[in-house]
Amino acid sequence: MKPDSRRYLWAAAALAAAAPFAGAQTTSSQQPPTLTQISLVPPSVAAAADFEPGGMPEALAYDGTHVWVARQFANSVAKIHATNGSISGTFPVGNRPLALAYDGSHVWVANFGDDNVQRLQTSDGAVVSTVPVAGGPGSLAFGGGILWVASRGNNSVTKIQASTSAVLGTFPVGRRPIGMAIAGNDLWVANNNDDTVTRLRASDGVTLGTVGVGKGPIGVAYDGTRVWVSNFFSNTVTKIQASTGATLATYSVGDSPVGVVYDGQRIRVANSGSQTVMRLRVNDGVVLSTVQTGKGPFGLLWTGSAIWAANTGGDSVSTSAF
Amino acid sequence: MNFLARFGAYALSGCLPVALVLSTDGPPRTGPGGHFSPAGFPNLLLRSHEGKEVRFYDDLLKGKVVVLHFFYTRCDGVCPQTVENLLEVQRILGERVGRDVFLHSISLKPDEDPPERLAAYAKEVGAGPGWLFLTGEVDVVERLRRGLGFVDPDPEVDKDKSQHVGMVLFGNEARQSWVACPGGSSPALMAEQILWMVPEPEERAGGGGPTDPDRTPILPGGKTK
Repeated sequence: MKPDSRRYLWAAAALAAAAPFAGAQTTSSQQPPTLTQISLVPPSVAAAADFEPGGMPEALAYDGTHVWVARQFANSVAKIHATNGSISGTFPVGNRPLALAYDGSHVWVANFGDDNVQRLQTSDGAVVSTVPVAGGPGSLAFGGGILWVASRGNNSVTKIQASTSAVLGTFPVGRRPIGMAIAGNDLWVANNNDDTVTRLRASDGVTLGTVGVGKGPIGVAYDGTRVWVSNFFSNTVTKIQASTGATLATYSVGDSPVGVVYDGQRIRVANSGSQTVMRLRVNDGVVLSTVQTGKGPFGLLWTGSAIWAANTGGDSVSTSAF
Repeated sequence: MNFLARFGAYALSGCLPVALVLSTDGPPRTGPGGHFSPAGFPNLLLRSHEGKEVRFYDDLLKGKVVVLHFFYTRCDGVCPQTVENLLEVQRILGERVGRDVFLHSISLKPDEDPPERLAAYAKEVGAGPGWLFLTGEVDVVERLRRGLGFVDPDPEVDKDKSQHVGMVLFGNEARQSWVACPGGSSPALMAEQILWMVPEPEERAGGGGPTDPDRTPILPGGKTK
């Protein structure tokens, strides 16, 4: 023990005698979901468990045929057929897969606990390359042949040539970068602990600006002209002019918004606390519809025809596909 | 209740008064991890489930009656029962939580429990105002855990977070009066003993609270002036 620690040492004996106590896990009531829910846990396992199994998936990606789901506490990714919902396979990856991205031919996964990203074959989930990325990689974005990786622990983003897995550079951003979106020639990064977003020039990683948003920014999406940021602790989304960085508006959404995605016409937001997905009109932020999901929707995905949400409160996804 | 009767109640309930062992090897120091309080508590930086940065001593302990324990959200051992019991304590104490008593649950697995996850957990279990779920850098949490004595004597067991110490510590920082009891103890007894820590109105008004010059005296009935 360091000498400093002795300054506040408690009578440890009184505390150390504790024995673990078994107990039932607390659960809360849920409203019936509107979206179809697909469990990622085999029925036999789910039936045997005395509490909700906890893959706690956060991230989704779409390869054109299948939706991929990263099950962070199962250290695996699941592959679901996007039109019939059947699970085509579950493949082992690294420790705590937190993010996914599809690069046009392969799926990338960020393994937060292993400090690396892996490139997977879509056919069988085989790992074709593993690239070390320091600092707890937890967010991915792909565009223009480049995979961007945000590392929460060392406040940086790393640029990787997807086709070759070559690391092209690492660039500083704000504290706890946690969400990213590519907007034209720029990369926007949500700095969760700074309540800001950083705009980087994708070509060379130069910071072009930093914009203040709400509390706990976490998700980022681009609608073609504007960047949308979900603010977890403010229960809002912020709309920013991508070309100038000017804040255009802030709209109230549900409880604890996380994932945000543009569906070609509207912005959709996953409210992890409300267990809903909202559809917002882009020009004025009016909520056009709200649908119920599973517990704790986190990552959102738009396949072109359906919305998918990863339910991090359990081990399932919710979808409008069928 | 006099001291002997109170001590007897501690013994019957399985709770134990604990003593703070202070070193006398020099003045409080300042360093990158934060300074030490006059009582020897480190002023380390944590982050709450509300997304706020807080200092362990200045914001969480100083001048307060606190209930403190370590947990993690995916724990399926001692934590659910402890949290369930603290929820009952919260119900018993009612509005006094957040006014007279503050609950602090510190995650043993900060990498698994970022503020967003703690926020979701707090909502899921039904924690109310005055109950903070806290996370921080791994080394900071570890330093707190060890410093506060939540350590198993067997190093191998101590490494295994799933077998972590399931005690709840509560006390009055201004009085330097602390009690620890198992997280599975009776919530009613815990609540009763926590209330023993709450200062009487005259103590709040300036008799014994040395640390918070801005503290507003609370009059009988909970009203402030």
